[in-house]
This record gives sequence, C-alpha cells and structure tokens, in this order.
Amino acid sequence: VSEARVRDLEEVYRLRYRQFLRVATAIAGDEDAGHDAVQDGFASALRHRKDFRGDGPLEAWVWRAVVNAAKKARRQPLPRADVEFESTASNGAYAEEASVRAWVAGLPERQRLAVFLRYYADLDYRSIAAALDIEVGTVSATLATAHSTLRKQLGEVGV
Amino acid sequence: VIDVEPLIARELGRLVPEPAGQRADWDDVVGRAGLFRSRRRLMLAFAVLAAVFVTAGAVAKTLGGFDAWLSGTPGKPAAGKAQKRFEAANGRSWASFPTSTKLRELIRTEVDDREYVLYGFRSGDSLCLQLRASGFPKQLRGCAPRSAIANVSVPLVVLTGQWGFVDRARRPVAQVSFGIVADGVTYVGVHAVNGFRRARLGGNAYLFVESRPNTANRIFAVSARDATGRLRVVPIDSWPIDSWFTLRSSGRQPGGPTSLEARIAHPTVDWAERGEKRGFPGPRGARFVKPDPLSDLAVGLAGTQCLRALSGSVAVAGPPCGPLFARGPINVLVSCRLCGAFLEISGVAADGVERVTIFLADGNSQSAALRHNLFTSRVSRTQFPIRIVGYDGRDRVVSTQLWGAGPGLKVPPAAKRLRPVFQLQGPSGTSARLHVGPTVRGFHCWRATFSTGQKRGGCFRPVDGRPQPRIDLVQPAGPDLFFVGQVGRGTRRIEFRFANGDVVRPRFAHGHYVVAVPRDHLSTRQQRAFVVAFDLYDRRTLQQPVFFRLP
Repeated sequence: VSEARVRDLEEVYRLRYRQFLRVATAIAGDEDAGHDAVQDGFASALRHRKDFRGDGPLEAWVWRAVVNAAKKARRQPLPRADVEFESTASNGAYAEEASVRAWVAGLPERQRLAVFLRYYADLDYRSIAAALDIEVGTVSATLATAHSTLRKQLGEVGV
Repeated sequence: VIDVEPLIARELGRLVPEPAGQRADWDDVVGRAGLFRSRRRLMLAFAVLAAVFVTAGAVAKTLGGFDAWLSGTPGKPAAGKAQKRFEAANGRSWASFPTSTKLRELIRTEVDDREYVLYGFRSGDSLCLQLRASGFPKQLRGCAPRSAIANVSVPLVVLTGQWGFVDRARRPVAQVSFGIVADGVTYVGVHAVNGFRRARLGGNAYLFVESRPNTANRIFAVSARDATGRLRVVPIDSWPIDSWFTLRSSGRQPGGPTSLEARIAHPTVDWAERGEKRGFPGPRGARFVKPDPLSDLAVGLAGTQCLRALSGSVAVAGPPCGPLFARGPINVLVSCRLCGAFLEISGVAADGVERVTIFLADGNSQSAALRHNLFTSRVSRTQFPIRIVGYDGRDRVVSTQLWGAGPGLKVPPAAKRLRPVFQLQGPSGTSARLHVGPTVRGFHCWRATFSTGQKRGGCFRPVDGRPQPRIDLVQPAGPDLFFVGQVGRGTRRIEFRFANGDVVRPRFAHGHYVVAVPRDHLSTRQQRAFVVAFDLYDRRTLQQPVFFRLP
C-alpha cells in the first residue's frame, strides 16, 4: 500500500507540478521559494503518507502540505548583509503589478489562499476546503467575500 | 453585478504568470523526505561506511559541514564531451591537474538564452569549481584548499565572488558568482548594488548569474541558510585595498610565532647555485616545480635571483629579480589567477627550511606543499592577514613573515568624518545625497545615500592624477537610476552622452559627481552612454562606456 501511495504522490507531482509551483510562488513571494515549498511540501507528504486516511482526494491532502510549506517560506525573513555598506534594496516592480499585489495583500489570509487555489490551481470548492482544512460552505462564503472586496477595489481603479 | 472572475484571473495571471515545469525534480523530493530506493540506499550506506573509515577525523571536524565535498561525490558525472574539453585544456596548461581528474556536473541553468554549467572536481588538496558559459571559449575556475573547507565556520565557501563576461564590444553580458555550500543548505542569496537576488543551488554548490549587469555592479556579500535554518552572511572581500567598496580593516592578527628560535646564517638554495636543473622548463626562462603534484600551482626559479609562479596555464607576473633571501630564508609571492576568492601563495625557502606553515587570521593554520625548496598554497582573501612561518629540521622557527597587515591598510578615523556636499533628485522623485570626507594620510572616503534606503560608499587611496572619470556605482533607487563616480585631478569637466543625443554635465564636489539618469532612459533594457572627460585646456582626455538598466 505504501509503495502504491508513493507512486500516486509521484504521479500527482508530475501532473500538477506547475499548478503547485504557481500557488506556492504566490504565497511565498518568489518562484525559488515557491519551488522549495513544493519540494518540501511533497517531501512532508511522502514522510507522512501513512497519515492519509483516504477520506478525500490525495491531491487535496498534498495541497495542505504544500500550502503550509509555502506559508512557512514566506515567514522566513529576507537576509540582510551584515556589511558596512548594506543594501536595503528596491525591486523596481512595475506600478501596475504593485497595485495588484496590494489588492491581494490586503485580503485576509484565508481569502487570499482560497483565491490562489481557485484561480492558480483551478481547484473545486471541495478540494480547497480539504487543502485549507475548512468546510466547503466556508470556502463558498470566503470566495464570495474575496470577490466582493476585489470587485470593489477593481472598480475603484477602473479596471 | 460585474462578472469579476475573468478580471481577477487576468490580474492574478499578471502577478504570477504560469511557470515552466522544467524544475520539477521528483528525486529531489525523495531526497528531502529522507527516502531512498533500495539500491541507492545500499550504495549510500556503503559510501558512508567507507568515508567513516577513511576520513573519520575530517568528518568529526566538519560534522554538518562539507562532507559531500570532502569525502563524497557531489553532483553527477560530467558528460563525455565536457570531460574531453576539460582534458584538452588541462593538457595544454603549464601546470596541469592529473589526467585522471574527473569533472562532475553540479548546476546547469539557462539565463537569457545562454547556458551556464558549473562543474566541480577534486584533485589532491584542491577542491575546484569551473564554470562554462555558452558562447565564451574560456572557462572560469576557482579552487580552494581542502583545509580551508574543512575548517570553515560558515556553510558557504565562495570560490569566485564576482566575475564578468563581456562580449567583443566590451558590453557586459553576465556577472557570475559561485562557490561550495555545506550539506543541507537550502538557500543562497547574493547581495549586490542592484539589490538582493537568489542564487541557484545544486550538487553542494551555488551559482549566481546576473544577465546584462550594470557597469560597476558589485557583489558584496553572499548569504546562506544552513540545515538548521540559520542564516549566515559571508562578505566578499577585496584585497589588499584597491577596492573602494569593501574596504574594511579586519583588525585581526594571525596566530603563529612572531620571533625566531634559530637563524639560517647564509640562506641559499644549493641546487640552484650549482646550476642543477630541477622541475620542468616553463615560460620566462624559468624551471618550475609542482610542490603538490596533484594541484595546478607551480613555482620556479630563473637563475638564482628570479622567483616565478604558474597557475594552470597562466604565468604570474613575478617580482623584479634580485637577491632571493634579502628579508630572510623565505621569499613569498602572493598572486591571483582571475583574482577569485582565494589567492595563491608561492615561494622559495632556503636550505634548512624543512616545512612551511601558514597561520590565518581566523586562528587556523595550513601547511604549504614544499618540494625542492619551493612551496605553494592557496589562502582565502578573508583569511588575511597571514603569517608565513618556516621551520627547520628540529622544528625551530627560522623565518616568520606577516602578510597583508601593513599600517597603510588601516583607514584613519579622521578620514571617515563625512559631510554632505550635495543632493540631487531623480526624474521620478528619488533623491540622492553625497557625503565626502577629508583626505587623511592618502585615504579618502565617501558615501551616497538614497531616499529609497540604499547606502553606498567606501574609502580609497587616490593613486592616479590623470583626468580619468571613474564610475563607482550605477545605483537603481526605486524608479530612478543614478551614476556616482569620481574624476581625476586636472579634470575641468565631464559629460554623459546618451544614445538619443541627451547630454548631462554634472557638477562635482571634491572630485565626486552624481548623475540622475534622465527619464527617457529609465528602462529595463540594457543601454549604453559614454562618459567623456576634458582636461584644464578643455581637451578630451577620455571616453568610456557605461552600461545601465533598471532591474
């Protein structure tokens, strides 16, 4: 059973790597950190594969691990150079990107994660619920609230 | 009600575009999970067992450190073509590695349609990385002695702190940095003038590639997150002092004996005096010896008064010929090939010197390979100042020399008392302020600060009275971009000429200038301008390009 589950996990990984990477990138803040989060999330799922009870899709269960890994990556502080003349850096991002980032950043975390999983990974409500460990009804309400907030903000800037 | 979903999808799509899937690596997942397929597990157990027997001492010293490099096989075997290319180049070198040296491929990446492959290999006491960039025939190599890796207290050893590839038009194509990382390092980042960037990791090495870098885009530190999650920052030092950017006097002193226990009355190398030929013939009329037969360093004598050195295929420009032992029974030549993070130590020791030890600034020491009175080693720039000590057959100190700690290397505090001299605003509103200090005992310090938070500067010793403009910094600051630099004495004016005919004529204070790049040239596309200098008679004395772009 265990070996079969390893193969199943590998199949999910190979089929859906790009979606996992995209969501993890959105959460963690950059693609390298996102890639690490996907690798670490799947590694965690592999290590704890015996904990999977089979009461939902395997992929949704893995999503939870990857989302947690990406959240952890985002919490790690950016390194600062301990040198006499250090950089405090700007990234020169385009203003348009910055405003979209601000819309998303302004959402409460659960709404933001639900939005990422819905739009970047194209997950259905049930899978989002499993990934975020919430009820399906809560997913529906969360996304509706997020839509409302975004609708308002998009309207304000005339998009 | 607005159908908001397509709008959200579009905006989110801009925020994080759909990534490519090339980085998917299931074996890496399995490795991170600590699982190994049965065959691999068996082989690993075997390898670990062998390593424990063979290098028990080293492993104990470097637990959690660089075991993959010291006793394992990082990466994967290089492709046959790469191996043959290496063997051909190695065979053409004056001082080559053994023909049995095997390359391992550590990182392969593509940046702006150019492929970069980082290889690694071990040979005797040398651990080396070699970078191939497609389109450039010469490969870039950096080596470190095994002892430097075994004793290091940080999870990262930089072999090439920064190096630039330029095309035939001298246009900067890429800036690279690479080094060895400890087992379990999950993250390496590079701190440069244009901000912080993440490096690629693979095969216990890191590789950073900045495509189309700005002129004078310095890398000044590399940071790594080790297996425990701890973040360590490793400054990239320049040595001895000509770099304006990282000039910092460590204030450290190496250990080792400072006084002699015995004297060699008339230091000489008997076999050279007799005219006996030892070693192999090389460039500049010298005969060379490889004290460590497995390394690419050789040192030699031309006659009895000329010390010469070789690093691979490169002949080091040695000091003027003269009495070899005017300062004692050891004569030392410090040099660098491509001037990476490690400097090469070559020298000659008089008869009676039986071993040579190099004491480092961090308290460690390493032995130099010594053969036929000639010795070689490599030392990290960060380990200076160093003390080179010679011992006789009874283990008495017969020579001790301090390197890299002369009084001239310390910046006088008075030179660091800076005052603001002018302020400038960029077209997008970012402001830059320039501070300069007095020239004290030949040292001159400056600092540029930007309203977006960056602070840059350093100290230097002006050595050039010619009216040459110097570009110290091309600094992105928010949406703006600034050029900061200096002019030589006797400069009446300078001007920056842009491709569309725009000309900016900066004023300067105390020999420094700051230029805000005009709005029309603020772009992420690499551009070129020329800085032109005029002397007191308004004659054009120099024109040089400056390449720039926003990140």
